[in-house]
Amino acid sequence: MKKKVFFLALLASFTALCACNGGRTGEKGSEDSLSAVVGITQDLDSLDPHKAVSAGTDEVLFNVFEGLVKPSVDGTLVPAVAKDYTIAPDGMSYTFTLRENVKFHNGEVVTADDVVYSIKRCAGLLDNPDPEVVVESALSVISAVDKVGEDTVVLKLSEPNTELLGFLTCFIIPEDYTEQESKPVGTGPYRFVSYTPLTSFVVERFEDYYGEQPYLSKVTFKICASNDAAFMELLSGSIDVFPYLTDEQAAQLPEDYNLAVGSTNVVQAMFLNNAFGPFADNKVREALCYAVDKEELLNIVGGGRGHVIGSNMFPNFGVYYDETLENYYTYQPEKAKELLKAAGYDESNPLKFTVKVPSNYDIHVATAQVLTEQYKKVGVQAEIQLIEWSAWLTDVYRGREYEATIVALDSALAPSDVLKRYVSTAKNNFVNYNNPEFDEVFAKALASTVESEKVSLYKEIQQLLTKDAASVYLQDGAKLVAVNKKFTNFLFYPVYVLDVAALKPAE
Amino acid sequence: MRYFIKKTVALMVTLLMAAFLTFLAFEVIPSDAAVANLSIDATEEEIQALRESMGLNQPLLVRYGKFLLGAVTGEFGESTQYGLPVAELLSDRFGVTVSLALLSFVLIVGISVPLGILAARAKTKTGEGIVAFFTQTMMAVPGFFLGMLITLVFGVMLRWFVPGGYVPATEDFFGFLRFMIFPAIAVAVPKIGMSVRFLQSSLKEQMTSDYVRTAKSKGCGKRRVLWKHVLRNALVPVVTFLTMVMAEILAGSIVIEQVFNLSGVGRLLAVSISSRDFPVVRAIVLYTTAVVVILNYGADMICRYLDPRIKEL
Repeated sequence: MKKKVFFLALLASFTALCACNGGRTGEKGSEDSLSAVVGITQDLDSLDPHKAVSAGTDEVLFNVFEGLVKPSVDGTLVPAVAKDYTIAPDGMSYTFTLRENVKFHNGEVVTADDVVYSIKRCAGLLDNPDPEVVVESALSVISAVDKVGEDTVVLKLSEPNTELLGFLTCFIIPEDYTEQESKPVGTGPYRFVSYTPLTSFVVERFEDYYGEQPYLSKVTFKICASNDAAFMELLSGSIDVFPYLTDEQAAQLPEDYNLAVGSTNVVQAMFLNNAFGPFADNKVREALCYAVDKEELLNIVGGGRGHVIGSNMFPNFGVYYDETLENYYTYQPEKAKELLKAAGYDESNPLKFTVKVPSNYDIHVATAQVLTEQYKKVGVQAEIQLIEWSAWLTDVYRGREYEATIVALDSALAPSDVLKRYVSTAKNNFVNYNNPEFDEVFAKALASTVESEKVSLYKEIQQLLTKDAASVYLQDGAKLVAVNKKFTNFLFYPVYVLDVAALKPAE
Repeated sequence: MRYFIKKTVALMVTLLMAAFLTFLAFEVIPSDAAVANLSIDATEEEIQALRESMGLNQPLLVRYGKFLLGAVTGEFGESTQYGLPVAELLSDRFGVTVSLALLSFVLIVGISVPLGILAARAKTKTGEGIVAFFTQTMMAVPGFFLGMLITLVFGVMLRWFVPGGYVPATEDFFGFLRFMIFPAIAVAVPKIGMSVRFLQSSLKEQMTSDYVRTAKSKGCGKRRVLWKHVLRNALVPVVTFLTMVMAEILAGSIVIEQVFNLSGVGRLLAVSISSRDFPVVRAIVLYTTAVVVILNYGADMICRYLDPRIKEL
């Protein structure tokens, strides 16, 4: 009996211990309205911005680093470290004038040498390249980066290209600074304070920033183990901003949070390996497009919030985007069946294929489940195979060993970036698309220096992809962001960034 | 002494084999650190250059030999993802996992031993039914679900702790305890269910054996029989079971760490595998193997003390 009493007392004391401290914990989030906690679900893969690969890392580092130009909310590129730029009419050279007295976080002034170094590093033009640096392939057209005077840098190209500006957001870092990976130094509105793997990345306001001072003095990016764990923390009030809400989570958002809705700026599609036997036949690919009820898909996976797309581009590309293609393939199961029949598939000989889906993306897994159900209705047997992201990269993207796959592709602020994968000779043409007409028009569009001509050429390209049914284009998903009512002004960009400098305290 | 030497040799051999199997496993799975560290559009030359600089191009046996040499001198290399020495990265996560393991172990032993004895005494049908019901329920609830339930009730609704608000014990001991007690409960509950069952059946089996009847007939009191004779015998399988539990928690309670956002060894292992951070993975595998072997050794010692009839093997 004594033991029982002891045990109960033990339990009671634990309970008391927890309860008596309870009052203070709930208030922690509000002690300083000038700092915010942002929940992220992916650890940073490198603090050196030129070595970072994942979009999630770039998104955070956007606050610490800047390029010669930086993206703005409306999709244009605005001068950052550069004050001004001119593009030669023939598209063969770019001239940048640097802004005076831009300071790095270590107090040193940005020089033309730093700019030359940074661009060369990104383009892989340094004499002793660090193999870990991620070389931006679009910058390979740069043949020389020259310092002309103290505040002018000229880029010379090997072939005409008027879209390079979208890639010159590549971050400017101090020349020959060796501690970038542990103590990153840039020119952005926030400076690095600390980083603990799997725990947090902390930044504070950079007082010497040349532009407008951010409102929040300190921002903590909290690295959460999973989407669910992050949402639990949000429910308890310890996270102020969470940019990766799922549709169900958005519906359960507590009262002291606002829901901000934007777009993810990606092309989500079921990409078809055009070299895989059955998919080499246009009729089969068209049938797969006609058999998808995109409205139903959007309702199930995103609460109807995404934007249907009809080709390999998303609406935030503005004038380049051809919205007429959204209704090119409407839901027509009968037509799909006819096309399949014409291609030689019927009930006795159904079309079968496997869809490889990276298992870490819930949205793609859900999409795959909806699609396989819809395909069943037209007698197509699609089987889902979940694979790990690293395996996806090696097998699907590089090895092209797949039949169909569902992912979303993002893009830099240049229409060529989102479409270049379909050029028949492109190394990353993982859908094995091959259309000489496409290659020809693409080359013309890239070289074109007349804006109106460029627009119509890019629309022509999108039409080609749609008509050929190169893949089954689905949606540009909605981005759902929870923002504590203490803050306002969460901005959405047409590229993948998380701008905390714009956040304002709500009065 | 001979026993000790034998065990040490066995430990070394097990470690060597575990390390080798890890190398083999990483040979088989697709993708490697070079691919994981470069952008999806990196060229084949870029990947090759990085492989070269990381030493991934050397033959398996050469890499294994190099790793063994390093391990002997306590040099485990650098994490390919974080660029930090593996030892530093691991020791930081270590504290979290060890404290979680110790705390939940205290809970498991402190609760299941008295409860197990109590359960063994339940002779009536209803008594047995109640014990079976509770232990079955505790075992059936998956740890991650329990974790989420605890977070929801105590973290979100009652606000007794801040979900994800772990503080190291060195900074604020009570804050640390206030947070850690909840993941520890989530770890402990299913194990308590199991060990109560274990202890109950083990005790019952002993109580019906001949020596108990003899002890009773020579006039030993009920208490003396239970504490002096039965418990000692009944504890042997329980100690073995508890060792397994301890090893399991120490080896990384991946799921619980994920739910409570603890940056322990388990979470580090999960992240490292998906980013193909081989230096970290093999160090964790070695650590896990060592923990299991050493704990088993400890359990052997305790069992031999409890029951000297267990001979040297």
